[in-house]
Amino acid sequence: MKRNFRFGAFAGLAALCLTATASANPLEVPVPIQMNVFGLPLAFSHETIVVCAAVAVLIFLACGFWARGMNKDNPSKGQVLLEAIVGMFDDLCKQSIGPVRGRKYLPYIGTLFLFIWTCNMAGLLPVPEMHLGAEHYEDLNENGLYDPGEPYEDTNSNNMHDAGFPVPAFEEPTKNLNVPLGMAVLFVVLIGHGSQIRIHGITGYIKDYFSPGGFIGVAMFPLNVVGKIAEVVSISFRLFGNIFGGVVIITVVSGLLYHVIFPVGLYGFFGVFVGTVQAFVFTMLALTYIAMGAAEE
Amino acid sequence: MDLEAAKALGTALTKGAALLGAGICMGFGAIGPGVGEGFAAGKACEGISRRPEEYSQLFRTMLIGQAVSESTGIYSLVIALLLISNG
Repeated sequence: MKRNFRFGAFAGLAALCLTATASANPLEVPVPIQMNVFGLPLAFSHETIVVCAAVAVLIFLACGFWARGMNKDNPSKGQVLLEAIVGMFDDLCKQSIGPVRGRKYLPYIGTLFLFIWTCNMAGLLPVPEMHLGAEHYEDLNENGLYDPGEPYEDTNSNNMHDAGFPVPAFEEPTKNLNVPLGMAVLFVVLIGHGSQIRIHGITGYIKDYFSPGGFIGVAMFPLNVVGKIAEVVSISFRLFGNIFGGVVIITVVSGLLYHVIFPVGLYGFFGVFVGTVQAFVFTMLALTYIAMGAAEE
Repeated sequence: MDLEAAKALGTALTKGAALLGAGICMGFGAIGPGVGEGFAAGKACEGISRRPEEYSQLFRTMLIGQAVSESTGIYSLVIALLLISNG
């Protein structure tokens, strides 16, 4: 018990130390951290790593303390809430995939929702700005590869920050297109198409591209291919665009209003409401795309 | 007109055209989602007035449908931001 707590505190501290950089210009794309994973050069955005660590800490603490006191016969309030959330996703999976196979997809879907929701809420954390060795493309580049040329020279937006108040400097990882695109590829392509291949076989998977069958199926093949690609593009751009647009609107209006009171309402709408709805929509659409290939007969 | 002036004029024209395009893109792109989401909300209102006990189910379905139909407007927003930043 005590060791659990010590480990949780250490992991939380590590998560805080990894705090991402933020800038007044919402259009800047920070350079991702490069790592070699089994010889592959992969790039992570540092917000993703931070949110992964934060979610891991939360789940770890929940498992360590909360679940220990749980009781089937006499549930507490938190237990009822958790059971309601898990039960809702269980029902969704069972309705769209099937009573037996749907249960197997519950961990994926629940984790996806929790991760995206936590990512969308990350912009609300009032951590002060810290620079962790991340340079921006504008600074790096002298050959004109990416040079937006200061599109917003926003002089008003940092008054509260310059006065020493901790304005929310933590950015949503979903504001970076790479994160939603990666999740869309993971869930729609790997899990969706993968389970379709596993269940229907490779012939059934290829036959799905000629879906009406016969001569019309051959003519429909390009449309089906484009449709499969459009699934990934639309699901990722929807999440990215909503979060990114919200951040831009919050930044612009906050700069106009000198960060006084009204942006709190904007964070309530664009941060909490839109973030929750879009996390749910992404999860539902991923579930629908998976269910196209994996649904029970 | 010498070459430098022509280059500056060309850059300014490109920037102006990009900003104009961003405005037009956002303006036209917002029509569809506005009409569609209003239609969905109206239909949900009708459904709730007919069966008030189904309120939560109707509200949830309406919200998801609106969020999905909003995506065309979001695409135009992304295009507009790209035009502003790279134009």
